[in-house]
Amino acid sequence: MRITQNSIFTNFQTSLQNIQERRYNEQLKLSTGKDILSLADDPKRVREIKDFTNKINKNEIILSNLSNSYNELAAVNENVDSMITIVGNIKQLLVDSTQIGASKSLATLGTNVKGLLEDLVKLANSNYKDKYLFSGTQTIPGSIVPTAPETDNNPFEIVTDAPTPGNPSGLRVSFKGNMNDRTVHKDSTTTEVINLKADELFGTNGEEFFQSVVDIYNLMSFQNGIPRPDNQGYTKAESDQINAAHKSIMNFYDKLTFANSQNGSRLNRISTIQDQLTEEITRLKDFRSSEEDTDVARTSLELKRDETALNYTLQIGSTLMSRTLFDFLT
Amino acid sequence: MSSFSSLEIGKRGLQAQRLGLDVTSNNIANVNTPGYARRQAVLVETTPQRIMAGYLGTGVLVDNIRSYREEFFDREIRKNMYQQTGYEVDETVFQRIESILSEPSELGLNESVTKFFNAFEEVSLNPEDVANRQYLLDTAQTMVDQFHNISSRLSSLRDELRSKFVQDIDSANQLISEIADLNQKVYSTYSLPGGDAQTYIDQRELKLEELSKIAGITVTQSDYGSVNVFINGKNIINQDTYYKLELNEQISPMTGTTIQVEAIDTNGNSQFVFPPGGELASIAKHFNTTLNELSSGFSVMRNLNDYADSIVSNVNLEMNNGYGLDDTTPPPPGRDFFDPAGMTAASINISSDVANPRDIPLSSAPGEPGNSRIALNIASMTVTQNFIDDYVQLIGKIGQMGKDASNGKNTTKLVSDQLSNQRESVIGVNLDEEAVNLIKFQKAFEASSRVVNLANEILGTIINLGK
Repeated sequence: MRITQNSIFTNFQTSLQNIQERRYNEQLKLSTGKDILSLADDPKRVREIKDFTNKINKNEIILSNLSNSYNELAAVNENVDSMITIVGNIKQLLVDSTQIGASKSLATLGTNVKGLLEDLVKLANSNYKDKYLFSGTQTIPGSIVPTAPETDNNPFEIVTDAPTPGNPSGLRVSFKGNMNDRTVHKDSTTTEVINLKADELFGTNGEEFFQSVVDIYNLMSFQNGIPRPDNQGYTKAESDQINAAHKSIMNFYDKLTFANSQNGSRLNRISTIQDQLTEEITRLKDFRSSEEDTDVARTSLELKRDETALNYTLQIGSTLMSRTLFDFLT
Repeated sequence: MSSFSSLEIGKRGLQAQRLGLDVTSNNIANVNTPGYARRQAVLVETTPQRIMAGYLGTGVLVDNIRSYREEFFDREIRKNMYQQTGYEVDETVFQRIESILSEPSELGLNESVTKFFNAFEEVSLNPEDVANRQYLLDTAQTMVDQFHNISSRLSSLRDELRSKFVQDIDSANQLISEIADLNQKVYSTYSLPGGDAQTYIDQRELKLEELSKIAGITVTQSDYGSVNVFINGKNIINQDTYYKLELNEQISPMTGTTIQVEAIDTNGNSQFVFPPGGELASIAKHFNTTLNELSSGFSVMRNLNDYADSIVSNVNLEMNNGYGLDDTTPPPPGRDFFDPAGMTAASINISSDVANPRDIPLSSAPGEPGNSRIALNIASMTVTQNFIDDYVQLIGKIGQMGKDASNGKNTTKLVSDQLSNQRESVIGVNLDEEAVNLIKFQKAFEASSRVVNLANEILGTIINLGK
């Protein structure tokens, strides 16, 4: 092949351009840490990277939600534990009230029971991060609408109705929330319930067991529809009622214990899902990294190779290109 | 046979070698001139003279000055050139689109859209929290802004392509006029002895190559060195007559604005021409299809609009059945999250229905602020609906088309380099060769001058015989 001046120059320029382009790309890969600098570098890998990124982002948010839910369920756990303690105390007071000699203080015991009822209602109105824990999906005061004789925006309220022979104190605990589930995603499409509902804790309508406590208070504090006189013990009929109340309070106790164990299971399940998600995120990040990140060792070697090639190209070019026969003619 | 014949032969030798030196000098002078094809003085022996002993040569003359131009290479290079230019434009356009979409990066539209849907996931835990709801609106606004920005920049790119198309047509017209002019010069000087047709042919070839890059021409040889130039079968230059190219812009409700090239003859008659390759073809393809939202082919704009449409329709459909924080009674107020009038990337907007974050319908039942069923359903759309996957596919397709263009460019460049090298090996100037030629002609010139001297001495001897 006949070699001309222009073909030497053009080929030399092309070689230099190619080497410099490769070096530029390798330097960019090392400085950004990314192997894919443009969509056109590898469209298939770009699609995979996007898929991984979308899944990672989604999982991280689900994980964060589950973590918050876990904390909320832990708060529920503490609250229900306290309720169990209170119900245990009420049960104890009920037992105490049946002991000989307690007749003098039955009204006092009744007052204690009423105090414990108030504590129970207070716990039932607990909130976590400004959200009521046991009122279903009516989680904020604005969603709780009191109707007379209710007066406040709490989900549970002790109200006083007109006294009746069955309820001489007229006390009643009113539930103003609902029994709906609150849910979070445990993956992209399936959900996990994160709340204990009022009926799971307090029986029918979320009020049943409160009424049992009111009944105990009424038994201790009233007789025949009027305040119980001093030294006036239980009658035979009242003793039967006490037995029924004891049975009811035991049911309440069991219900709370069962609900708390259910909540504990949920906590364990969420904890397991969190572990699985964390592992999946780590795995997805590994996959993404293997697709997206620069292989530093390989790229460094390629850069070194191209730098060497560039040096030699420049060296050889500078000596070869200027010599022609004219250099030797005198 | 006279005594003057040696003098005549010497003179002819001097003239021929001198011309050889001139041709060589011209080659050396044009070693770096683009498009220059090396020349050679073709020496032939002059007509011999009959003498008693037979025929005796009468010297030398330069029969012609040969150019080493090779039409085969010129044709192949022109063809390869317009393919390469087309790929270069394709690559540039797809790189620009890539940059407008900010892909691949963590600032792209994909990230904004997934962040928007993930915000529903985040708010689902505390749907009653107004700050969370405001965050949802903020991420939606970021996404909407990005849609607008991308749409606007793609429109600007389309406008830029139109301007480039007009510039290219102007450049093509200038080249067409110059080629026709050079055609005429070649034609009129082709058969003249000592004419400079070859210089014009070299200049014309450069112009033809430039024109090919723009309009993907084919060239046929005509009489007396002139050429006919065609764009996809349409003869736009015939010797010194030529067509003028113009932009033809059509607006239709079905296809939107499209651009084409129109050839107009000297009588004002017009005809569409469709360049088979080169800048004009590639620009028209991207203007009429890739960036045309009404195109039925692969259109980035249409895909982007479909993407916006899917998001607006699906989110609104879900939201229409939802209740805000203060909605306490059925039926659902039917609020839209996005303005239903804006179903494209350019027009997508957050609806005034949800200007107050409390009004965002995230609950599936009235009076239940802790109910996040609607939020969860929308958050699941990244999996239950296809639009996120479709967008990732779109990015992949843009990448693939960019890669195809890049590969095409590299391949045609390789072929172009090879063809240029091969052509260069024939038409290019080699300084070593020219140095040898210089010495050769110089020595021959010196020898011829010795012949003249000798003939002069002989004549002197003859003249002095009688003294």
